[in-house]
Amino acid sequence: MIDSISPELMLKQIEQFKPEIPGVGANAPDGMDEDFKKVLTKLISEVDQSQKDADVSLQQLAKGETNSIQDVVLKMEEADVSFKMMLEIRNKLLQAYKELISAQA
Amino acid sequence: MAIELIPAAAISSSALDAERARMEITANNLANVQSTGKNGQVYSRRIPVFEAVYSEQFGHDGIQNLAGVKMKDIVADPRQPLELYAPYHPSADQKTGMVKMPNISPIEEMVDMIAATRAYEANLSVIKQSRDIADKTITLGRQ
Repeated sequence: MIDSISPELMLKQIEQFKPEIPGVGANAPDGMDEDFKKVLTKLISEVDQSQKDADVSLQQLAKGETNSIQDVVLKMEEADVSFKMMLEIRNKLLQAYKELISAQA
Repeated sequence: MAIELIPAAAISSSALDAERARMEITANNLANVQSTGKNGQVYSRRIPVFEAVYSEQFGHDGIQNLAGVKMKDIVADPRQPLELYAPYHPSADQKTGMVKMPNISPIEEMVDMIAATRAYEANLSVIKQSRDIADKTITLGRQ
């Protein structure tokens, strides 16, 4: 069941987020900040890992240790797609940050 | 793998492996059309047997349980070997002069090869579409 969007509810949500925007309201609680940092770091390391995986399987193919071409190509695609996702997330974050900055100016 | 964004990548990969093995069997059958052996020991046509793979033994219904396909077995075609009258042949029977040839029909093998190629291509397009939908979903937020 999807709740209907009411202006009161949205205002409440904005009120909730207020302390997390630096310079607006009180200082952001450290826990939330730290959590997001952790999630982002984990995502980046996973993307890095998938690139390394692709690299390793490509080397295995070159050495003749594996015959499975599709495995190598799939891993490269996986690395490509996950990198693109990371890039999109970064772009979205930067975009949000820029909008906040321009809102203050 | 830590991060899996392309749906069904592992499943389609197993299908490609299976079709590849099927192609190798067809190649081996075609290569051995003329093979003969001593004392009636002759190569017989090989047939691949495919089997569905489940990640668990019980309860095959969940989507997580479906894990693609594998080549379960390679069996010999039970049909009788062909016989050819060639008394000059070193593998020929001393009395009758008949040579036993493998029970392989090149036409049959060619048809099988085409089927394997088409099946491989079908699985390739599954991978392609999966990659595309992952790509499209990721770029959803873009203006």
